[in-house]
Amino acid sequence: MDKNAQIISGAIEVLHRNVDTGTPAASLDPRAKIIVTAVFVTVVVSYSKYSVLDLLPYFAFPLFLIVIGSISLKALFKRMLPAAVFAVMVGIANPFLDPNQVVINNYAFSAGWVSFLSILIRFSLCAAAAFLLILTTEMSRINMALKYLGVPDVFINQMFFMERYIVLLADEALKISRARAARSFGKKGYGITVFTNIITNLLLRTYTRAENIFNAMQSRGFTGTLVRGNKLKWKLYDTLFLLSWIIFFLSVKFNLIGSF
Amino acid sequence: MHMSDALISPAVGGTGYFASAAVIGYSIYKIKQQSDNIKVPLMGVLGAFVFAAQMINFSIPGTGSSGHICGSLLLAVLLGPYAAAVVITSVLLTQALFFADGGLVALGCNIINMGLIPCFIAYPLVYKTIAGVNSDKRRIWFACIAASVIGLQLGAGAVVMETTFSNISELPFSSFVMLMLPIHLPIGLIEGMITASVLVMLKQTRPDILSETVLSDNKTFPPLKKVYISFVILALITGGIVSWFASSHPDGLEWAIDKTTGKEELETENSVMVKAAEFQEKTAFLPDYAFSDADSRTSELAGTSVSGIIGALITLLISVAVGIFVRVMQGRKLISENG
Amino acid sequence: MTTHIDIKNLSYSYPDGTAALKSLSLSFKEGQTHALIGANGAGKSTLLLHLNGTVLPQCGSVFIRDCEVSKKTLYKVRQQVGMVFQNPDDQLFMSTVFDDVAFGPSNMGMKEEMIDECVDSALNQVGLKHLAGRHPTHLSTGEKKRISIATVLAMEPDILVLDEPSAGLDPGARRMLINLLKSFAHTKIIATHDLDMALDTADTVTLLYQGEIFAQGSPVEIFNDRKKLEQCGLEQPLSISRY
Repeated sequence: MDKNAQIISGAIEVLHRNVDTGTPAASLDPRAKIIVTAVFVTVVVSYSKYSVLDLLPYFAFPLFLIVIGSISLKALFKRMLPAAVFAVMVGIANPFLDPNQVVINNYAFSAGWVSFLSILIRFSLCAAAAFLLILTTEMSRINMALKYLGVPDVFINQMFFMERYIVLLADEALKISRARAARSFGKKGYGITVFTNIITNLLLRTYTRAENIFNAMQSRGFTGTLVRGNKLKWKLYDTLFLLSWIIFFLSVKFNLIGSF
Repeated sequence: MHMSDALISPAVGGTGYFASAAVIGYSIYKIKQQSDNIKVPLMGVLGAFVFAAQMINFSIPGTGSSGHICGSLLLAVLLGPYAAAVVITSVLLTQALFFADGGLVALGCNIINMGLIPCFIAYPLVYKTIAGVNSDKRRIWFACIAASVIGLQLGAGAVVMETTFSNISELPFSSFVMLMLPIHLPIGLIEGMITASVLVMLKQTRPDILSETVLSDNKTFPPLKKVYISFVILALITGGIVSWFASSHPDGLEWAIDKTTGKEELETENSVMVKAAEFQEKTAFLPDYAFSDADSRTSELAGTSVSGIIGALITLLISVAVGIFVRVMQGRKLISENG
Repeated sequence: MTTHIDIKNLSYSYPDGTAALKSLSLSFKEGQTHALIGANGAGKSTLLLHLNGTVLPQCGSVFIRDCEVSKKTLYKVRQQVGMVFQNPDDQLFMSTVFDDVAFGPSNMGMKEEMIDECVDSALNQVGLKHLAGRHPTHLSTGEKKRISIATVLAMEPDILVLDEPSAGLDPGARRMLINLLKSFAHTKIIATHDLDMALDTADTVTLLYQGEIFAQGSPVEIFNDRKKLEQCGLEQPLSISRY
């Protein structure tokens, strides 16, 4: 398959996630999940550049979600792999630039490699948290939570529509891509002219589509709100989730768990 | 150019969030004011479009590698800066959540680098100044290329500053800058050319899109000479300001180093580092961004600004050269069309 | 039978100057199924868009009973005239089927409990109640088309306007759609290339050509006139031309 077609199909697969709504993870209030995830990533990035062992307890959170969400590890790793490449590319300079040494538990290590490892761990934790959030929560519930948390309608409508039409547009891009591949006899990659033609084509179709959708919305009395936020019900279970994890993160961060 | 959470500190991330939240909040307010309901599906679908377009790679001539467009400038021209900024924010959020392309803590900074800078600096100050509304092919090309190059340079510069202030990566500021800025020059050039081609094609097939969606008060545009002059001034100011900030860096970096390693500055015992330092001294004609090694702050700052301005002039020369090149090409085309 | 829709001297030109409709006058009787046929570009879709005020008349008027379609009456008109567009993907823009069908009633200000009933009833009418929780992207074209119809049925309109309802459907889905349309008592205006479907369902047929009415009459009259059909870039329905 044409390389571009591969990229697009891969992306469509990522976007088309199926949230298993029967799991405990899915029934958690999305607001709780969003808040805990936000606290989690903030605490993780607050560590100094040489932190490695200190960060290990934080793996408890993604592991917990994996278990209660019945997430397949394979699916998670598949997503994390391409993103991990970025982290490696960025962090790989550290071992060559940092000439110092760092002492951990009475052993001396090359500081550059320690900070590189720290970068990888940070990345894994944060990426896993983001992926687990969307793997356990449907977009509609994320939008509802955002609305509750005070995000303006304009932005919620935006996320809403984008999610609805990304796959469709990616499909159209794929079709154009295949049509082009069928007439290019093995020539790889798009020249800039061809690319420009493809996206102009896609853009024009996008405009027509937007007008049609707008007409359909108007015809059914659209007034400006798409997502009604009153369907979320906060339960004791959610309070427990929220409080226990935040307390855990803060305890680890401020060394209240006295094991170091 | 997406910044990852692996390299960011909460302080930088938080600042990024505050700044971008404020600007995006204001943008949303402006959008609501216009109460143009067609915008709702249009913004959404264009967001999906940008997403899809970013997934299609094209081969960069002469390098054998491939790249993809960012799309911020195109969005700014099609939707106006406010709506474009909101759309880009939604795309970045989706990329962060679904692809870990850009971190969640770093999201605020990414919004600034790839959204706010193109929409609120490159578009109004560069594109609109040159192209105005309903301009001809030549101006659109010049405007797109200039706006794209400048926008990406500023964006890349911002990435460097944010990474360095976060102090997780070991890359020294000067090396990082020397790495990021030149790389983004051809990228900016190509994106500018693509954006221009798309706009020109749209002008021919769906001129109503351009006239009804571009929000501009600029009904008449200034003559090209005035444009060049304001361009020069802008570049000088930008170069001056950016390097001012850069000059405060050595202090900030030393403080950070002190905090983490207990040393005043990294001792360059490592032979690689020593060689690199020697090399830098030989090639940089303004070593350590200062005229002399006097400790006086003013001379240091003056030195920094001069080198920043020189850097800006070089950028300016390149974009003017491109503009002239484009004009020459247009001229040739006209001759061959009329001949 | 009373006149339900009355169109008088309707004219419309595109921004580039091409005339889409040239002083068209037409009326549709209540309770009947009216087919609108013509080649691409004849003006069918443009005419349909006028029926619920998506496009407002540049010249002339459109009356739904005694209510003139204007900027002020849009809300009322859109409740009475349910429009089903050609591309179901553009019509189903919410994340679940239920939400799409509930969109109209919800915008009309209906209460939550009433909306649930309404959606149920609409989905029942098209026989797809079991798809309420599904994401529209995962459905077949036939299902999407029927749900599009449900999205307007939920608003309880008197008139149904459909643009190419059978386009892209496989024979089984098409037959289901035709039977469905026949089961509705609403006044129906259907723009279509599917002349056999028009023959099967319509009470009157209007043939458009270059923005004007070329011929009007019963299906039998229009579809037996091979010459007129061919002048307008069409041909006879297979059911007639074969026998």
